[in-house]
Amino acid sequence: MTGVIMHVALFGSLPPLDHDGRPQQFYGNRIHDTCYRRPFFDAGMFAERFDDAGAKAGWCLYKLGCRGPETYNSCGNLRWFQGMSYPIQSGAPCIGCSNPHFWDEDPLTERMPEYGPLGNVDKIGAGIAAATAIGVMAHGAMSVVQKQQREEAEAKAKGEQVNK
Amino acid sequence: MKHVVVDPITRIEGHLRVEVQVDEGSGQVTDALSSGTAWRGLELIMRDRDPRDVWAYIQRICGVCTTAHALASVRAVEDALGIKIPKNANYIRNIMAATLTVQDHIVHFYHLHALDWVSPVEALAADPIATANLQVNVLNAYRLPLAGPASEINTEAYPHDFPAATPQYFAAIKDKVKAIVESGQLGIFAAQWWDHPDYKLLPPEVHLMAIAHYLEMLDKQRELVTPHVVFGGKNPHPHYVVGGMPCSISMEDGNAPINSARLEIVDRAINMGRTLVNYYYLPDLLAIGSTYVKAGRVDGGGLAKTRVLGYGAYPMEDYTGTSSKGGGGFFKNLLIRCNGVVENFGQGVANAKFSDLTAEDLTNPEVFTESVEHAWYSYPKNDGDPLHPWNGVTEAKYTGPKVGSPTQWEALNEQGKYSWLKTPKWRGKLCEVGPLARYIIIYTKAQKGLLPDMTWAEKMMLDQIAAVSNLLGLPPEAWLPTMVGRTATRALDCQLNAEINKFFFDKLIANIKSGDTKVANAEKWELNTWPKECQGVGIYEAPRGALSHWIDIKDGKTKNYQCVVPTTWNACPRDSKAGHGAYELAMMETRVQVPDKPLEIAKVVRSFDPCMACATHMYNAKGERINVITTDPYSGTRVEK
Repeated sequence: MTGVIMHVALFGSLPPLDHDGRPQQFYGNRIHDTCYRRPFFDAGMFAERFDDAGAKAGWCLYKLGCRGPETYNSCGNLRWFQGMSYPIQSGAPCIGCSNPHFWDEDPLTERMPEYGPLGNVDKIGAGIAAATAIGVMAHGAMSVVQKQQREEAEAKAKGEQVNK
Repeated sequence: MKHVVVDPITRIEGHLRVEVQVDEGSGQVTDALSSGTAWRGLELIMRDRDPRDVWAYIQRICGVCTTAHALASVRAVEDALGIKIPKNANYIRNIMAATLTVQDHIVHFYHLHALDWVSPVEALAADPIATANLQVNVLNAYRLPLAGPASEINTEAYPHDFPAATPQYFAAIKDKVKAIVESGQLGIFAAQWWDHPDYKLLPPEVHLMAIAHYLEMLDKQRELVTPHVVFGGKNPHPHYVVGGMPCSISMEDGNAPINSARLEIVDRAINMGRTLVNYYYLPDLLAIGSTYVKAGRVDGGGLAKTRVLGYGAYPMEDYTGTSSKGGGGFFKNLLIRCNGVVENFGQGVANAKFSDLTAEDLTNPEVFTESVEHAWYSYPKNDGDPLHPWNGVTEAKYTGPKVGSPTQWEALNEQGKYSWLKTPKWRGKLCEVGPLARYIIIYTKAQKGLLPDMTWAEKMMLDQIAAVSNLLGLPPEAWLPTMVGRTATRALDCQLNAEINKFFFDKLIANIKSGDTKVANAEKWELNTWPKECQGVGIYEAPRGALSHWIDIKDGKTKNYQCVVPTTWNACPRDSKAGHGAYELAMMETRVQVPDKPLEIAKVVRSFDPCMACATHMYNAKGERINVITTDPYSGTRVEK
């Protein structure tokens, strides 16, 4: 709100809007992508319970239900009260209060809910991992086949040369 | 007789309409009707929710009483499950509650109520030099230098937030106000009856001084809420967790939610609150209020003279349970024992009757009830039946107005249903709640010898009452139950809460120093540790008064949820057995000088700090509508003839 008013005061026009009519400056990024705790997520360091050692150390709150990965807002980069804090910095997982489906997404403290036929993030992640493994194996298998074919082709070519 | 309607009453939070019948000769109000014009319905949205989430959803009932509903909600769930929250969580919640009270009262007085007392138009006649002198005189005459217990933690060498008292400062403010008035676009000062005779009660310099502080406080109030941002992540709607607080404490982690650097921000905000109340709010209020009292304006008391209710405030240490089902620990160690009801205070403290409020009263289906005789709801059997909140029903039944269409009201039906607010009752009777109620209860209990081993806060409340009585030259019975008394006790409550804030901050620091950093109790976090069915109540003396949330839990889900909020107590529709609510009675005790400009009505209603939005419709002796006065800042002031 304040940002929009300041934009109008400074530039005399409304700020650029996204397809939902929201100012892009403030709704363009996922909380997860601007979160200062993101390195802990990437490193797999999570608070498992409220007030455990991970919570005290300020680790990622994903396992306590954090909705950062699906919420587009500026809490992560602007933070509240001129950069003072936002729920994650104060130890509370994001509840996605600006999400269109905020009112239908509880229980809030359970990990992120199902995404249609794909399942929740864990299942999607497991699926992707399995698919990747299959891909790797397939790639390996293909490589072996290709290698044999190449060697055979090379051998054949050599033979032909020899024969010549 | 004129019928006057104000709809919406602005400079409040939410939607409120009042209709009054005014005798044009005497200015006497013969009937008054208060109607909440917006459907709430949030209770229905709570059904089947995980009780551990309810605080987050129910808190969005309001953006002004932010934090209050979350606190009442987690307390209700903890009462149902018998959860004892850690000491630190109790201190932090108390700091957040006191912070809300300090900020809320300051915002209400300056930004929602001050323009009923002072006018930017009158301020233009002020002499900046005389205003600077007045500022010094007001501080000398009206500052109440009362403080909480001595503290070992003193981080500020001098008061940082001190009012400017130079002619240059007031001249600059005057120029700014003049430019706004001359532009014809009054902006934040639009929509008021600036030619009303009430504004002539005060000299121009008081107007200029208070308008200057109005502008100052727009900035300062923001900084007062930083404890919510530190402990709860943001404001409005800071975060909580059932079982304590999510803000873990560690002095060994740079990335901890709470460490020394974060506590420094909280310390600064608390000290700022103390200075703002002592050097701006109280002196301004007392200077204005004493002029009104000396002019004989001791009306608008209403229900405060007959019956006031308090729940008790600030559990000093960790406790188990609010209701008797949960153990009732809440009531055993309160900083302010205003839990109870005082009746007939208007007849003097000797004739006043005090009734205690206990943990058992909360579970007794006869004590606290709501009925819907005049509210747009229906009950399964009879709308006049009282239902305990655990068995409360939220079933809409909109019947429209007496005159007009369902969407364009001309006159509401005082004989039938006319409000979206239910009628809450204590033992079948209506009560006023709020800071005035808390002060009347503590004063009455003290006079009757019912406050053994007084806490420092209770003593401070009595000292405050004595100081104001001395200033006004009136006994407490005479000035407390009035419109000015209601406004004054809010300022006293603000000073008290600024000190309570400091008191619990010191306790938090001492406890962390002793090695305890725990903020959440997770013993009953998992649903499989819960009983199949349980019920709980969470109570909190919110800035506006007694707030309660009631939850009925079954199979780990919210089966029923009811909020009984302070504004419902005060603004409720009438009841054929119990009579009028606090707003209606206060309006009926107020004299209106100019029926077309019912400033006194708006002023007395705003003295309750209404948490809803509003308008006044005026009708003559035949019941013909004279005016609908709209004070909506968006559509501007307009008078429909």
